[in-house]
Amino acid sequence: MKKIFALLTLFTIVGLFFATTQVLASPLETVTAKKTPAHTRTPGAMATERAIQRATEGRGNPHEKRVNYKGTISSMNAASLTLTLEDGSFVTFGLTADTRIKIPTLGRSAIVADLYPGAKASVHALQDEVGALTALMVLVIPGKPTLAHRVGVVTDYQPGVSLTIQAKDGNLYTFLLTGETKILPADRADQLVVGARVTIIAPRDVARGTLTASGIVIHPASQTAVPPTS
Amino acid sequence: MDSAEIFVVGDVSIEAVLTINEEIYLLSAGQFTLPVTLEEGPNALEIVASDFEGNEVYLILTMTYQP
Repeated sequence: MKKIFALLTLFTIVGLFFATTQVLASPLETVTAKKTPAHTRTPGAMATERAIQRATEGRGNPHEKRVNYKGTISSMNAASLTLTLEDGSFVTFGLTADTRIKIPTLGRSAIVADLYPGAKASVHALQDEVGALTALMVLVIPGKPTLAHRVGVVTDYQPGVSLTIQAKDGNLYTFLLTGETKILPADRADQLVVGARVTIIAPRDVARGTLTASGIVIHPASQTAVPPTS
Repeated sequence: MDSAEIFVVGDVSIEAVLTINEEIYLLSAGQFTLPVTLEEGPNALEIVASDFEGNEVYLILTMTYQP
């Protein structure tokens, strides 16, 4: 494992491309509304959007503000969600049809019903003059990345259909290939044959469905496994 | 929808595979600088790196972008 610690010596998020924008590492207090096409908006959603617009443009009630909370979902229903914060306190948010739900493992299809108690979440909300909070966006923070890297030697390859590798644990893993599966680097594509060492990028959670590869990275033939160090 | 671009900067000691959310990169040894687009509101950055032996490390960051 020494090698992997040496592998990645630094991750740093640096400045912004646009000088006028702000990127705030959580926990911080920012939120912006998502604008939904008019024909899909409910009256409540439009009211929420108008309130947000007023707050954004500084034309509305100066006591309205955008806030951000991070914690663990302790309870929820179709109309509200309660977070337990790190200090043990609780904060409850109203949910509307316009509340955006982001769950990385579900892509853009997530809905309120996909939220569950115990999940860590970041909630961005609009706080009105009496302190009531309306959630604009709920982001579920995953415990592990959605994608995993699996390394092995190709034992079967059906271009555009499937690829099977034997991983270092000795097990065989088969991945489905689609037209969107990337093969990197392009100049090694002709080396993708049985016997090649590859890294497959695919969903980490096998239980969620088939293993469809989003990427295949081909390692040069000169790279060989290094004996494990003690 | 507004968005902003930031950069993930780092260093790898050997050739490595890096994913940032859905984006896949094959990195040569040395420093790297990779762009990431943030959407309005909260964003989760899932960063995974691995070597050709299958060793893997990951980092999950949450960031909030306000135009």
